[in-house]
Amino acid sequence: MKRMFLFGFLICFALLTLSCEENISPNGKFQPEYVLYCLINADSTFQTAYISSSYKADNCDPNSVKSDPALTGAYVYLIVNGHTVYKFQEGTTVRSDTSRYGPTLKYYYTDYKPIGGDRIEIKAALMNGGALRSTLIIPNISYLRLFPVGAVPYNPANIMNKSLDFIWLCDNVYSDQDYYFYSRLQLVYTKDDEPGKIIKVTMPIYYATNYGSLLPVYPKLSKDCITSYFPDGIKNFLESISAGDEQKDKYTIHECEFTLKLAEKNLADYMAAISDFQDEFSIRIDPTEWSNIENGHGVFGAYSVKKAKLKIDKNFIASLGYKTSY
Amino acid sequence: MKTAAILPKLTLLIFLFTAFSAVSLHAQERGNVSGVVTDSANGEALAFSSVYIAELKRGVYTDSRGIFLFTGVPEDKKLTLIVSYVGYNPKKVTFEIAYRVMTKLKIALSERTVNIKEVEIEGTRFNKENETDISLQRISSRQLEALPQSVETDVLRSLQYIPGVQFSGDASAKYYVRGGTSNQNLILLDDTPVYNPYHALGVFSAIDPEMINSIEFHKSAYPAEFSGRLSSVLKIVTKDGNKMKMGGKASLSLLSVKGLLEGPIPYGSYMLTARKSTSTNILKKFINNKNYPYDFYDWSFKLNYANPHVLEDAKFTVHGFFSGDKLMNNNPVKQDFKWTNDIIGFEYFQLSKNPLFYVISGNFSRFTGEVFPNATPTKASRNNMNDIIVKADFRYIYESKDELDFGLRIQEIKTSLLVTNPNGFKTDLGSRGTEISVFARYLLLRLGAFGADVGTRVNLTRMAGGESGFFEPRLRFTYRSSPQVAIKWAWGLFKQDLTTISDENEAVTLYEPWIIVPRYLHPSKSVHYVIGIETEFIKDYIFNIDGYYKTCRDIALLNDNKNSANNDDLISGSSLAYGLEFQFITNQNDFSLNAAYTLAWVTNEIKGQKEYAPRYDSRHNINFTLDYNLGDGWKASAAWVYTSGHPFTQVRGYYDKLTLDGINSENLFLQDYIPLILLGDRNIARLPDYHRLDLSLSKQLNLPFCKLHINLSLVNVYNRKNIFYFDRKTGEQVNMIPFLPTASLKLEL
Repeated sequence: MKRMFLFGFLICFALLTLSCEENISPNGKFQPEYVLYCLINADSTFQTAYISSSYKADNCDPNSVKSDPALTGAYVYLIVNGHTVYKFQEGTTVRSDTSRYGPTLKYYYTDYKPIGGDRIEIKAALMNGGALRSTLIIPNISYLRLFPVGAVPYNPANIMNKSLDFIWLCDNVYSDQDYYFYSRLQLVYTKDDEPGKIIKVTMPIYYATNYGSLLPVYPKLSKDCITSYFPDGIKNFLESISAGDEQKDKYTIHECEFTLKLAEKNLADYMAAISDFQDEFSIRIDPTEWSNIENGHGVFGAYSVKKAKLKIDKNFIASLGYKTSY
Repeated sequence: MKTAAILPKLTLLIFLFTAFSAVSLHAQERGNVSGVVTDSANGEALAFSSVYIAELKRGVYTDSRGIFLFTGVPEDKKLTLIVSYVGYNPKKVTFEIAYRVMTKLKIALSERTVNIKEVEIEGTRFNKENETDISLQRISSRQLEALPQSVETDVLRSLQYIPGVQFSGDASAKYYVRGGTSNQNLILLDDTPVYNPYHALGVFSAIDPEMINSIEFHKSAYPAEFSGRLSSVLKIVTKDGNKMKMGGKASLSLLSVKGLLEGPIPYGSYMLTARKSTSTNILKKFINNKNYPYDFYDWSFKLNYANPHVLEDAKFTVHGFFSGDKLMNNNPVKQDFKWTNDIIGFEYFQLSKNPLFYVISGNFSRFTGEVFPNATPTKASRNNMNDIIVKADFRYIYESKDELDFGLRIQEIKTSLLVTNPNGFKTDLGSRGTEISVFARYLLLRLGAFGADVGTRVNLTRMAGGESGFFEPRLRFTYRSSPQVAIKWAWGLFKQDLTTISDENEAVTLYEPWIIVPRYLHPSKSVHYVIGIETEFIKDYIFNIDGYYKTCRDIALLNDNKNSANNDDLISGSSLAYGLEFQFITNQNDFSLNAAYTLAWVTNEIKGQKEYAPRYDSRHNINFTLDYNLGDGWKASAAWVYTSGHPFTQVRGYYDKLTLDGINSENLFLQDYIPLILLGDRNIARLPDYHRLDLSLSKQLNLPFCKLHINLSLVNVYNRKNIFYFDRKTGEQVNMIPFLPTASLKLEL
């Protein structure tokens, strides 16, 4: 009896394990779908839109698909507050990254200067009869303010300055957190031996220590209404622009530029959905998708940009061996 | 729905009828005999050993403490007790009892060291008559050790050989029972819940098998003494420690180094275990060949004290279990992770002369999970789960053999958790709650062929507040139509007030925080229907069939579509699972074989979305385990697992997604696109079938003053390329564990 069971066991697994590998395609049936991206710049009269179709990649590597999915010939228009219509025209620009598609990037554009509170609707009638649609309300950004605090010009060497803080306020931020912010601070400088060349470098908020070396850490996309730069980081950063160069006095430091970008609710939701919420060890099988385009994919959103200038204390700059233009 | 409404009332009626009818039988002139069965070498309780009175043809199995009790035994008559346990020499004990006196016996069995043909003694194996044990699997530490090892013997992975238990793959020790999710399984370590029973990203279980004495696994329809989960209960009882002499074990494997120290103390014993990871290179084999800077430890202790001069027939136990896992990158631009379990408890057990058992216990379990984002976009998160349980359980055994169990439990839970959903919205989901519940259960065992277990839990309060007075009736029946055939049936209502924040789209999850189901949702509920047939037409060849039907509703799920602070963080879903399980078991003198087949269906539903099969759904499952005692200290084992393809979501195309990396440039969006996958209907396709054969060979060397155990295992012997997942970015097929030889050494003093 025992032998019978042993034999049966061996036979069963031998029969059932003939195959050590099976290949399967993760692809299902393909049907083209359409994508619309239109991000309204609240500070500009030049608005763009991009329409494309979905595509398939038989080898499961979408980066191997080289044919441009951009769609032309669509009738695209904005309806502002239910009555004023802005029609988009077709345009092209030079694509900076030509590793996948050709050098010509096709898009649509129109002239429209948004006003806070405008209710706008976008409609795209495609050549094949399909229609994409979405709506949004232009954010009221009139209350957006920048407040560089501490000494102006800012002196990182002043022990009273624990950090250089950029603080801003915006309507609704604290009520339902519908906005996302991205900020950056750029140092502008020139070098005597490179006349006419203006160099802009983004300043990190601080440097993290990694096995003795310093890694710059930059501001992330955030709902926070403050960006803080730390004195040690500013000093390290200023020193780094001339690292290895003995001739410090050929560097002229100009005003720094602080840029703040605000994304309204739709764009904020989209940005949140595509943000990297995963750690590098979790294995997520299916990505999340967020879209506010009816009958298709993509996003219809709006953003606004604010800028401010900042001077760093002349004496502090001089202590590093640099000159200032102010 | 009508059935569900009537059954609680019916349960109450049956309970009252059986309990009152038992009173009339109480006054018969008979005596009782109780005892404990232990291992003669170390005094360790032999749980689930068989105890049989030959003259009366009555048999029982010892409980997890090794204790047995016969009531209503005729007085003034010499009786023979036959005690047996697999792998031990059976023993005959003659005894005599007096009227209304509890006769106490201590029986120590010696391990069978020589592989000789067992002499058949009547009563070493007997039919369980009317035991209401449907869907219950008992696993001893010896059975656990006999299974092939992946790297080390693993408690949770050993469950995959049980029909009705599903695994999602080699990379996780998480298990899914009869269609339930992994957070619907209650894991009790010495009666204390373990909230994170895993090490190393869930690949291995955190509970060191060296400390285990016995395991009871209720697959569903579990009795009224258990509560708090919708699917299953895994009850792990740890060893008491060697009561005879001081001893120890030291083991080394490719994953860890560990040790056990045990010995006697005046009127008691102690046990101390400790384990520490040595290398995590082996993890690469389990998870996509990636380096994991991982580190873990666990340690446990148990102290027993039973001084008959202080308290007769009482035992006082203090136990603790502590585990910690760290994933530290030592890099400020990478995240770090930390998890800990801290468990401590005491138990006072008393056997009175009535005969009444009672247990009073207090347990504390804390789980902490923490994500340190450092300078990365990952969101900082910390989950604390503090669980304090105080309970008193009583068991009264009537002379008629019937039993009455009742108890009170007070559970206080405090959680804190700051969570960020995929759309970036933060919420603090922490809360505090108390649950007070009572249970009563009557086991009608006097009728010989028919057995019933009728009980209910009553939850006087709800964790999140609000609803109260929730009943959880449980019914379990057995009818043995002939010595060879028993028909079993069970029904029960189950409630769960805790949930994890789990992302079903993750194949490997680092962080699964626990929370109390918030008040705006109902507690999760489940109804189980189970029917089974147990046969033994040929002696020692057992064939079981179980069918189950399980519905779950109000399952708390993370709201992936939360896009505003006004949206709820959690939404509720439901599930339906049903299936058939076939199991064949034989335990012979020198080999044992377990073969099982499961045919199962499970579907989940979220309001407003299409029904879908969860990722662990598998239609067909086949398991074989065989272990063979070759003699002279050699043992061999084999395990083969087959699972028909798990569901996955197909790709229906790609489109170019705006990345917004260009937000720091002047041209916000025109240039920066990457391909995004367009997914088809959720989990509508199936991966290829999974199957794997593991072989193991071990040798015990009896050296002077010690024993050396050498184990060699071959994992995935024929190098089956089982698919783990498809990388959505590259389309690459990532496979599960390849052919892997492993070895371990254990030195036993």
